[in-house]
Order: sequence, then C-alpha cells, then structure tokens
Amino acid sequence: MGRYIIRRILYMLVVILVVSFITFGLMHSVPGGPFDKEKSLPAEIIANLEKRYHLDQPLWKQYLSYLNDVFVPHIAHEKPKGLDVADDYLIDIKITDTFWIRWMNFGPTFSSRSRSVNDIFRQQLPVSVQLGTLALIIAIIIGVPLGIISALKQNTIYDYLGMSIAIFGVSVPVIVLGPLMIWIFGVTLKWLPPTGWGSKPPYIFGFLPTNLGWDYWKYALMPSVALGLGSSAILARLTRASLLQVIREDYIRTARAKGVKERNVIVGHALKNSLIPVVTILGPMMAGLVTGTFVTELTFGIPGMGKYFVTSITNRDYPVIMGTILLYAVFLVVANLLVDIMYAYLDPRIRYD
Amino acid sequence: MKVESAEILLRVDNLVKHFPIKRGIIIQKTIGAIHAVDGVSFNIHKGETLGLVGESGCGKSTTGRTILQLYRPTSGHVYYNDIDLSTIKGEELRKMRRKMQMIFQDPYASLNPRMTIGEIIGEPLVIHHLADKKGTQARVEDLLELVGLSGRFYNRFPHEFSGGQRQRIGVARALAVNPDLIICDEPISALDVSIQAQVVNLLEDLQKEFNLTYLFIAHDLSMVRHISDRVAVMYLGVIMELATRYDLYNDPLHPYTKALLSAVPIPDPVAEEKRHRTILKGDVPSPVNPPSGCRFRTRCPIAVEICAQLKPEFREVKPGHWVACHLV
Repeated sequence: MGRYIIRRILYMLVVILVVSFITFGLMHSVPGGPFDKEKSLPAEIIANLEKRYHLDQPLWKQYLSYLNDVFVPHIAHEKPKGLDVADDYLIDIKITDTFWIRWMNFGPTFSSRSRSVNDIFRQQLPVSVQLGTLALIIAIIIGVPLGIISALKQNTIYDYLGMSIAIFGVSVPVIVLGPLMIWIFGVTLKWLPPTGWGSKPPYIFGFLPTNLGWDYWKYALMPSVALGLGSSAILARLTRASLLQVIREDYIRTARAKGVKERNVIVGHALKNSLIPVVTILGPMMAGLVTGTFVTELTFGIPGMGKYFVTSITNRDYPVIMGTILLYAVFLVVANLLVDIMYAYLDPRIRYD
Repeated sequence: MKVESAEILLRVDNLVKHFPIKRGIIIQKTIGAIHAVDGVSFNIHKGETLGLVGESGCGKSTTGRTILQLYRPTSGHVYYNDIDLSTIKGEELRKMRRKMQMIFQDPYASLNPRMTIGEIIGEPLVIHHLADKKGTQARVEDLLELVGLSGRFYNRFPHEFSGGQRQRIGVARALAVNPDLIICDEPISALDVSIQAQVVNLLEDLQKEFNLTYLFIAHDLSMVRHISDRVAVMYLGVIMELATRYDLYNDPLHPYTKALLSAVPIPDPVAEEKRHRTILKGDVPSPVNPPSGCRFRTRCPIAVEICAQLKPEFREVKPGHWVACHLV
C-alpha cells in the first residue's frame, strides 16, 4: 500500500504538470489579453504593464519561469518582507534566521495591484472549503439514508417519496433554490441573514473557522443546504440503485439463513458492499464542492473562490487562471487517491501491490 | 427399515408459495401469480437424506427456501419437531435457524466478498451466542479442518479460493451452529464433475459423524440416487412421486419419473444400446397458468380425459411409495 501511494503521488505530479502545460497553452492562445478594456489604453502603458508582468517575453520563457516560481523551492537569506505581491510565497519555512525555504509563488493578480493569487488562496479558499465541506456532509447525511430507505422499501410510498425528493433536488438548481430560501427564511421569516459569511481569517490549519457558534451557523446553514441538496439527490439515487442490486445477492440470503438480525443483514452485509459506487462519486464531488461554486457563492454573497474561476477567464487574468485550475486539479487528484484508498478498505479483492 | 421406524423431524403439509405478478404505477394490482410451489407435502425422518429432483424451474429451490422461511409460504405449514415454522417470526424464528441451515447452489455468490472466511463461518456462532471470541476462532479452525481445509485460511477472503473450496466453506458455515437439518440447494451443480464427488462424499461423512438430516435438492439423477435414502420427484410445483431410492429407480410408477429416468445415460455400452428413451414433447408449461387437472398431462404420453378434469390425489400405492397419477 505504501509503495502504491508513493507511485500514485508521482503520477499526480505528472498529471498536474500536464494540466499546467495545457492550461497555459490554452489561455495564451485565446484572443485578447489582460489589459484589453473597452477604452483602449495607450500603447506605452500596455507595453509597460506587459514588461512589469513579464508578458513581453517569449511564451516558453514565461512558462518555465512560472514552473520555477510554483514548483521549485527557493532559498532566501533574510526574512521575507511580504511587501511585493510578486514575491509572495504560499509556504515560507524558517530554518534559521538567515535561511528560509520558500515554495509556491503563484504570482500577482492582474486585476488588483495589491493582491497576489496566494492572497486569494489564503482568504477566499478557506471560505469555499468550509462551505463545500458542509455541503458534502449534508449531501451524505441526507442522500445516503434516503437511498437506503428507498431501496429497502422499494416500490412503496416511501420509495416514491424519497425518489421524488431526489428528482426535485437534481432538477431544481441553486439559482432557483437559493433565492427561494433567501426569500422564505431570510426576508419573510427573518430567521437567518439573507447573505454573508460568518468566519474571518485567521483560520485554524488554514481553513477551519475559529468561531463555531450561532454567529457562524446562521450564515452557513442556507447556502450549504442549497448547495448540498443537489449532490444529496445524486447520492440517494446511486445508493438506492447499488443497494437494490446487492440485497438480491446470494450472500444476503446466506446471511438471513444464518439467522443474522435483519438490521445487521442490511448494515453489516448489504450496505458495505453497496457503498463502492457511492464512494467513487464522492471524489469528484468533493473536488467540485470545496473549490468553490460560482452560483451559490454569488447568490448568498459569500466571499469564496467561486467567482475567480469565472472572472479570471473573462479578465484574462493569467496567474489567477493558472492558480485556480491547478488548485482544482490538485483537489481532484488527491480526492481520487483517497477514493482509491477507500476502495481497498471497502473491497478486499482490490489490492494495489 | 430405518425409514419406517425413524421419528419425523420435518413435516411439510400442503405447502404453497405463489409469487404475485403486479401491474400498475402507483396503485398496484395483483394480476396473477407464479405458482412456484403448489401444495407440496412430505416428511423428512431424522437422519435420512431426502432427495428432491426435477427440471429447472419446477420449484425445488423455492420449496427449500420456503421450508426455511426465507420465503414466507402463501399457505400450508412446515412443522419442525411439531413447531410450526410458518407461524413464528422475528426472534423466535431467528433462534430456530440454529437448528436448520442451508447450503447454497452458487459458491461464488453466496459468500460475502467483504468478509474473511473466519468472519463468514464464525458469524452464526457469534449471533447465536454459541462461543466467545476466542472460542469462535478455535471452532472455525476446527470446522475448516473438518471440511478438509486448513485452519490457516481463517483470515483469507472468499475470492482466494476455488469453487470446490468455497463450497466446503459453505458447508463449514452451515455446520457451525450444529444444526439438525441441512437443506442442500443444488450444492454441487456449480462445481466441476471432479469436485462434485469430493463434496458429496464430504456431505455423507458429515452426516454419519453428526447424525445430520438432509434435504438434498438436485437435478442430477445419478447423484441423487447415490446420496438419498428416499427421493421425491417434482414437476411444476407439485410432487409427482415419492419413494425409497430403490423403488423409485427400479420401479418408477409415474410416467414423468419414467421419462426422466430414461434420459439418464448408462455407463455400459451394451446396456446403453438397448436403452429406450421416452422423449417428452413440448416445453414445461408456464407456472403462471399451470394446466388444469394433472400438471403433467400436456406432455404425458399416456394422458386420458380425466387427467384434464381432476387433479390426481397424491396417494400411497405401495408402502412408502407415493404417486400422484390417475393411471397408476
């Protein structure tokens, strides 16, 4: 298993390098540039800006220097001042007073003079991770039991009810559900604040909020339910289909013939065998949720990552495009690695050595 | 003969199992039923092996499963030592499962792929509170040795074994709780011929050692002949003939039994040359609309008018020899 994980991590590095290469090539091959505005700027100003951000250099040079900034650890001999946005490393490790190891400089953003991509990672990403994690938890605690009940009570009113909720969850997008919830709970009943988010930096481990009281939950509740409901519907349908298949297996009859209690037949024998497809989908689902969701964050006025995925592309904000795409790729490959490790736990036939 | 004198362990009385066919999207209506088992009665004596043979789809396995209440019977009763299994449920029924176990047909599908051999065989011990943790492992290792496997297999998973080994694991699992009755639901059909004999011999040895009672369901007539004391022949949910092994194979009375036996090849070229086959015409009728009167009449070579009108009574024509046919 250990060797397998090391091998997978090496593959992951290759995947991320390929993603960075394709993204870099694509974003430079689409027409337009970061400084094209409706009112065109004087040529000298554009030339100056391009020089400042090294956009005047040949593409291969830009790409190599980007790789150097992001992937190669650097050494500094004095405490980084942190004044220049172009000199902002995500990881600064102090070895001695005159020896610092610095890693992952994703560069400045073009749309704001005083912010770096790492600032977005430090301030916006934790909010998205919190929202996405809560949404994922809600998706699981609603979706999986709903699927189980539907499967066990197949073709009864519970099944139809459960699957109706699931279809509702899939087919009503956040863009409808969000404003509806805001209108009901935020405006009419005034139970919850309609927009906003309840946590601020600093974060524990870089993403956990420091306050977990009502001040936090009153903001988090609506968006995470709105975001999680769609995913819960997918999980419910998957769980139901998979469990229906498993409870018809012969070994379930074996368990009943042994005299296992019905509850344990379901929990101990059927459920574990039917969770593999559910776990499979959890990987990409997690990556999608925690890297920020444009519509949900916009609807509920949440200061998360989501909008940068969209605005960076329309603004041709090259460093932010690269940063967000690489971030998504990292989350995706890590989530898939976790899923594969889970497989080995869920199915003893899967061995990776 | 021991068959006559032995006490009755299991009494099946007019057992019926119909699977409803439903139509309708929201409001479901039952529009018919599959008559899988339709009025089956027989006794199993303590320590004997009753063979149950018949074509695919004739209701053999359903009979076995309904006896164990894995399917609840539509009507009829199953008495185990005078306890009516068809009326008890829940905890009471669960406790009865200690006494009756089943060996399943497909050794690949009937073992939970996520559980180790130790967990599979040990689980009945744990849930029936027959052993503590330490005792369970010792008992499982004993059982593995008993069925000709090694106790070292305790922590392995089912996929690491061959079909024959897996079926031995299934046998060990059934034996774990010291049952009196084991229903063997085609335990050898899925195995290679070379392995079949091993498993059958194992079942016979275990029967002698633990005084087990078997209901042996199969479609292989020669294997049933080898292992059974008495044999019941089933056709389309009904028992056609029930007799001791000797009577059934040497003096079959029912035309269906005769046809079945005539299809068995004889391993002697001279005799095989003379073998006269009664070839049945047509297919087995649908169990949704079984024929009126005698179930077999549509394919019976000697059927007469009364067969279509009256269901033949299952009666004892000779001591211990039961037949359901008007013409015997």
